[in-house]
Amino acid sequence: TDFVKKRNKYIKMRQKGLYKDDLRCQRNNLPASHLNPTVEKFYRDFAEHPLSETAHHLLHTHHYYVRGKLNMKGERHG
Amino acid sequence: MGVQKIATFSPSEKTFTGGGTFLPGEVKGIIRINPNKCVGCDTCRHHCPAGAIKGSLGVTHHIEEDLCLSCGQCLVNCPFGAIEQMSFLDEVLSRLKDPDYTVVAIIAPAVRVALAEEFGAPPGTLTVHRMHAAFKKAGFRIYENNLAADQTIMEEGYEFIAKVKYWLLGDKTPELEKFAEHPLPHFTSCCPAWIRYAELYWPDILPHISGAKSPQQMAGATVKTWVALRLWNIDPRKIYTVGIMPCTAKIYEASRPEFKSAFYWLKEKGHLPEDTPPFPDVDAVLTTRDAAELFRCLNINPLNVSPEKETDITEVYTGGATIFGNSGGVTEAALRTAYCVLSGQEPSSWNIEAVRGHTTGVRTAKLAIPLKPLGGKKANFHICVVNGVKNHLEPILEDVVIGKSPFHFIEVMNCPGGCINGGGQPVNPMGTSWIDPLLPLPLKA
Repeated sequence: TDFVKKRNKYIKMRQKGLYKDDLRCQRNNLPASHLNPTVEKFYRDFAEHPLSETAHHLLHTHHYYVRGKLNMKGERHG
Repeated sequence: MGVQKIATFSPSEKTFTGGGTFLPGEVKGIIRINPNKCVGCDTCRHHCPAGAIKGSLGVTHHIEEDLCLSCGQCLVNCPFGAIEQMSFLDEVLSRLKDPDYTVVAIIAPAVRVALAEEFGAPPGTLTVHRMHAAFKKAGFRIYENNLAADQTIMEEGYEFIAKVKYWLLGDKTPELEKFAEHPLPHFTSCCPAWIRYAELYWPDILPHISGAKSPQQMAGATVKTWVALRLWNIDPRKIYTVGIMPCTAKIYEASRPEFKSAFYWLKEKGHLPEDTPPFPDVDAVLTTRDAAELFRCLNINPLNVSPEKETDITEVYTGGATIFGNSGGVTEAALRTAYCVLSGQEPSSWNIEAVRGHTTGVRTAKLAIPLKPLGGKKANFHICVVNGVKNHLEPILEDVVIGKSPFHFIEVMNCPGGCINGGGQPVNPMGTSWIDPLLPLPLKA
């Protein structure tokens, strides 16, 4: 429909903007996450390595809830 | 031109009481339909991924809070501007004025290609250094949500690699034992509306979903620990973190009661006085529209400030991170890093067009990655990118539940196109100008 076409038009325009930002980062030698110097420093000085104990505490969640059963016992998956 | 103004309202006491499908403290009722403006055109119901909107054609509609994902797709698609958003702008403005607090902006990727629309520029106009300068001028320090997206890739990527080792390569060493409870396919966890959708409607899928937090939540927990203690030397209790998000469901995500990990970690390590009350990792969330309103309140036009290069290492991010805002972006970012880690070499091109969602509902791809531990033998990975929960997700979940899913990795983004089309983004008249040709009912006089 006309609506979907117009919506798709601005979706594509915004997506293009992010791919442009991606290419800018690639030109600055920052194409992929493991090459981010701040991430490197974060692990070197603080969190040691991905999935470490510190990462486990701060960067991972252990709480997905079965929302339909909240009233019964707050069932958890994690 | 110009974007449509969306009405906002402040939270009330009822907002945090929990009940129904909400835990105490969780923000509910973020999206509401103004009954005085709704003409019952039924458009919103067709965009709601959760069947949470009730009301028949021609009759004022309403949202069933307990079923609602807070994704805001109804809001951005309402042709009459009848749907309103809860806003925490007043709270953020008052914190900015308080000299005791360091207010930190955690800026999502999709904001930088939409914020400019609020100031008259076309959709997709990229602002990075101008946007940073504007937030600094408003009194924020910046922790790039894109930097947190890079952290997410490290954590989620290594988690996925661990699952591959356990489930595909048969590595049952003790440190991989916990992945016995987390089978493939692996689902991404960045989209809070998708998480709530799974929690409400597909609980069988929950063990498949990555345990890595979303970038917003990683950012909040990192700012109040590593950044506060080691980089900026400030008291974590005096930090106020603000997610700047294209998303209304992020408001809800930040309020989930388990996301107080910085508090518990700091407490355990003795960095907090005994009587410190628990505080959240992310204190408030503003949508892109709220952020624009904040700039207007402070007489800042992000298009007219002079751009500032990164001055702080907390502003540095990669290309993999910035494409998180597009459908397929999380997958592409994960694959870029996974390829390097698994193969021990760099890919010939960083661009993986095959997983980009664009405006296609579901994209699937097969990728051959050479595995270093197997002497470079190639393994095929089957990838699926779900671009919009509505209409596209259910058949894929059904296959997972009956154990017939062909995929190893599934990305789910609730909003069509990804976060760039989120419920907190500027509402562009390009999306609403269809009123005349399609309107099923005559306008109310």
